[in-house]
Amino acid sequence: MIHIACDPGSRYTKFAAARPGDAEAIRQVFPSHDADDLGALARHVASALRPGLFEPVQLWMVGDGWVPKRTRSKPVLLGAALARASIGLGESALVADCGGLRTRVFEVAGGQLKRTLENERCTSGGGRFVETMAAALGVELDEIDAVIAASKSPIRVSSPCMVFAESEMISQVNSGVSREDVLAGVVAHAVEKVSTLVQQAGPSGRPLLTTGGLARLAAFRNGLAAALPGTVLVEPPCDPLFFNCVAGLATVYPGVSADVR
Amino acid sequence: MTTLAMGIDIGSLTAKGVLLANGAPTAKFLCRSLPSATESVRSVASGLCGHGRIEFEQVHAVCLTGYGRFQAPFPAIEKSEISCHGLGAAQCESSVRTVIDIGGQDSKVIALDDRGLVQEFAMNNKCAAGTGRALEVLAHALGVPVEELGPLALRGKAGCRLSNRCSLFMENDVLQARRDGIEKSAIARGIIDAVVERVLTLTAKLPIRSGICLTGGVAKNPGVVAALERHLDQPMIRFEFDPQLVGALGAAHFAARSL
Repeated sequence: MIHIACDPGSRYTKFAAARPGDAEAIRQVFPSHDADDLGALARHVASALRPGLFEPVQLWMVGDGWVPKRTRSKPVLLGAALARASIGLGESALVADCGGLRTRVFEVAGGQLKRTLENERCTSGGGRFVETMAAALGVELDEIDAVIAASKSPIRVSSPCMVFAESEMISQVNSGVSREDVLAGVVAHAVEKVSTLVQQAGPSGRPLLTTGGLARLAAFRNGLAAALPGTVLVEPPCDPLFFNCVAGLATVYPGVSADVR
Repeated sequence: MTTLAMGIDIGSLTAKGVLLANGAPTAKFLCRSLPSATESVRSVASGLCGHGRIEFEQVHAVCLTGYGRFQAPFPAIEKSEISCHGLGAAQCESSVRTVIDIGGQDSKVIALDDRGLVQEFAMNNKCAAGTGRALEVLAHALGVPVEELGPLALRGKAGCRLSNRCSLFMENDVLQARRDGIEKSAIARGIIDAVVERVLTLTAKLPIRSGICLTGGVAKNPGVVAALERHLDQPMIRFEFDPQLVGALGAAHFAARSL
């Protein structure tokens, strides 16, 4: 049987797939706007593993319990999957999932999820916020770290709403502020939002695992380390964009490991 | 002698203008806002003058409103959008007592007295949910042009509930509804209901009085008008005048009153 885990994010829909005997999962990503039919995408992902004619495929939806009505699938709870993957981090740890819209901080202990904190009302400072601002400034995602490295004086983002901040960024650039400083200010805003949520999760000093697309940025991780002194930042064992998906897959198919050390 | 008074409304998405000749609209102009507010003002003024048909110097008074009102390239008076939408709406229909203005980046509820003057108002300019921009974002997520969202919603069944928090959370809800195979028309109705509910949270601060109209570009969306009527349980006043130009009309009347 081929097991496929799907993490349907707001921006990107991620898949990880493996079959018994595989120690590594294959990973694929699709823009969420083009991902209406998750069953068809799952079949596409499975085809990369060259399934046998009658080999069954099981789709697992990683998240908070939602399964698409049109596609046969089963849910895997993300918090439980992350807690299981974080056993190696010690008695108590935090996992910050920095997604496109949702930022969630999971408090985990001994492989169990203790509680979840989340941005419930506003998406300001999420991965989508950073991506949109970068696009408005003409910066590709893989250039963000290099552009920020050249910043001398990051701006302070005053319009928290992403929709308004976009025009604020453009007017900052029009008024002569460098795009490096604007983008550094945008990432600093994301750091502020996530670090505030982490601080709400209780005492500092515990390991903090960062996942999600935003955690791909070195500037974001460095900013988070500076904003949370005493906290040891831990990187996942694979691309942070796919980590939730791989952790979900590891929950249902132990042949694949998502253990964080 | 003909008295010419010009009103210009520079919004976040569109720039609008109305020219009054002896108090009656004689020219209207609308274009996308340009990167610089000063350029937008010049463009609207030129458009209202028929691109040279009349000389700008013949205009006796100009009033600017909207976020670009402080960047006039020529002498002009300035008025807030709230005052201009209030006066403009009252000029269109004297029985208006409540103006709901849904703009590109903000939304307002304005209470008027019987002279069209603002008594009090409530405004949201911190969050895009409940603005025209939210409708654009959500129409894109649904895969339809924003102009088609209203007519589509009118055909939609009730029951598709979206959150009315951040417009981007709503976008996620739209993607999820599409994945669940819900009809586009029902999702369109859900989008408009969510945006309207968000706008109406402003009425917690400002009770609605009968004689309600909707101004701004969103007033051209029949789905939004129908949703407001459903939620408020009373009819909206519909203008013959273009509702998107009501702010500019009010500004033009302020210009005329300054003479």
